[in-house]
Amino acid sequence: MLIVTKRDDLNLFRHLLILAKHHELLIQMIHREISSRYRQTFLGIAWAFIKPMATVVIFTLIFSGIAKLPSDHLPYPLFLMAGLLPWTMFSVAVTTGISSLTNQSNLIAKIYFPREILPLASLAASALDFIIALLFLIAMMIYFQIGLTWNLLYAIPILIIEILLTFGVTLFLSLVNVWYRDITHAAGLMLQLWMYLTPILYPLHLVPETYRAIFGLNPMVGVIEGFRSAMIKGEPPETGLLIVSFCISFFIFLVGYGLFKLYEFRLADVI
Amino acid sequence: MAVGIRAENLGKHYGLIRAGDSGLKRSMARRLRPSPAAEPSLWALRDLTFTVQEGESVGVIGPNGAGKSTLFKILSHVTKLTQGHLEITGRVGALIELGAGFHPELSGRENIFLCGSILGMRRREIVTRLDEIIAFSELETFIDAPVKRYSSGMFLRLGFSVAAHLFPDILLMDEILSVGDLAFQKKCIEWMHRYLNSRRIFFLASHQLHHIEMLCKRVFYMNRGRIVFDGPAEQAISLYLSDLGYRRSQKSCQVSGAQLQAGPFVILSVSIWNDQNQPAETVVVDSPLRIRIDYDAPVQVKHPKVEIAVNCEGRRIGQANTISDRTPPESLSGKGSIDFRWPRCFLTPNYYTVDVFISDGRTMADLFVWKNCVGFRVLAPSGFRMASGEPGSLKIPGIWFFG
Repeated sequence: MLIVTKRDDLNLFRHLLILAKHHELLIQMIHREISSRYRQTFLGIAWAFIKPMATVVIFTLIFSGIAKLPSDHLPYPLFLMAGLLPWTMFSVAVTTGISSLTNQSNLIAKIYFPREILPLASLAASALDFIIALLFLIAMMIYFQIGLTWNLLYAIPILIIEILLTFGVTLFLSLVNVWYRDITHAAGLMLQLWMYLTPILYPLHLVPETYRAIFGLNPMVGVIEGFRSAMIKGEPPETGLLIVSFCISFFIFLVGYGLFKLYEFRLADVI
Repeated sequence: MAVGIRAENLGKHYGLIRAGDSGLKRSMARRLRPSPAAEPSLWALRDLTFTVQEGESVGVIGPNGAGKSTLFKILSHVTKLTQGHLEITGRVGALIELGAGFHPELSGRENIFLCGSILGMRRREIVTRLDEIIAFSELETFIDAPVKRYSSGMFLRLGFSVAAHLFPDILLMDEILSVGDLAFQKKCIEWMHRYLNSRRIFFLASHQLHHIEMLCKRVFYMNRGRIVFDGPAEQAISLYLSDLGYRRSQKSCQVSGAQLQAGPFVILSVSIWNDQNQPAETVVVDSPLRIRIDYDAPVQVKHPKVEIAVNCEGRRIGQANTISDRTPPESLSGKGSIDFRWPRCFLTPNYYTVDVFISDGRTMADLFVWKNCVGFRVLAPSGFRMASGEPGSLKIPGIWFFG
């Protein structure tokens, strides 16, 4: 029996269970997101390769060729790619996720399902792009003769941290976007700034020692540095940075999901 | 467990946001100067208490803005209550806005899966019913084409077919019977009869009163967020119709835009009179009737044009005016009445409403417009049988000869 009252329910664990019950809808939504992303394109899913590849070429010319940025004694394209991949997953998921609710206003106003499925589907579609582009990174590693080590497995917990963070940020921003569409406009700027505050184009050691602690509060720093260490340096990630990154990401996830669930039922009235 | 709904004191309050008035500026202003009076707000639903048991079919009628859609939104769990308590046993399925979940780029088949899972179907259920759904929609040839290539009729047909095979325990339907061509509509109605025979709950909100009467035994007559009447369909419908006719005493007419006054001329009331010369809500087929308009014209109106239109199920079915009938009155002044007599009622059994338009016969400027000012029901005399299938509104007034 379903009991509907005006009381709010903030038990996130219960919400996750309900979400799990709707896994078939989630799968359908992911399918819809992915197939509509590349429907009626000539190159199709190849765009998942082409976009990062082109970015790497352009950025290598500018930041390595002209600006001569160091890259921890690694080939710059490889160094850049290892940072750019997890960043792209984050930024694409956030950008597409922000409008995921407002794009489906019709559905939200008419039918109930856990609303977080919509931003989650955007996230999953970006994750799929990430996996495809990852093959490209591995091909680059083979080309540049980087040995594969067991430390590669560290990438898995690092990516879980990134997914928690992405989910939290997307939930929060997509929710606010329903009330204030300003978020759609501001997100591009915010992500650009965030990108330059994350060691993607440059190595972390370029940041002065005194600022590094504050710098590390950006949860993406731990993620990018950790992913890079695990993948192309063959080293375990720096635990201090990663723990900070995990704590902040988890906090953002809790706040984002909690607020989302708190305001979920007002969506149909506002959207 | 038996399917059921129990509602106690449901209330839904909206703070109205005017378009273009949202955003930071407004909320800042609200923070700085909290003035509750300046916030327009509305109780879309107020004090709804009812219980619905399995096997019941409930019709919901009332003027626009009565709260019908809001009630459905609450029942389908889309929006939250402001007050009250609601218990629902069973899966709720809404047939509102068919095809809302469709994605234009995906094929019909893919959209069946998508839309089905949005409506709460399991994948396995969809797979087992897939052929049935496609056959019902009559879209076998186009099922693998993207739905953006579909005509709007095909789109709606696919939407209805998915929803029709959902078979929820509690079905909410908001005015969607006009899907596709007549053959498809007939199929929909047959499907609904089948649904009604199963032990489930059915809710239908509609302006098409004969659909309500055909499908629902119990009716909620809603007005301004409240259930004014909850009981047998026939009583609820006649109450609604008589309210339509005598709404003039209430201010709500202006709000709903049903009445427009552009000068000193006022229609006091419009009423239906039967062959016994008494005001009536019901008229029998083929018996005489008249529509009477009582007016007050404190200033003399010269060369007025009087027009009467009759509507059925929200559509105009006919009209008459004093100019094409070549009987324009010279002028109207003071209090008086206009009678429009029908030697015999040529309408088929159903519910009808009347619109009255008074305008200046020269400039054609409206003086007084009153839509749906009165409603009446046409009854079948004993032994009267309509043509089978889809009824039309007119009983063609002709005389048969056999030679």
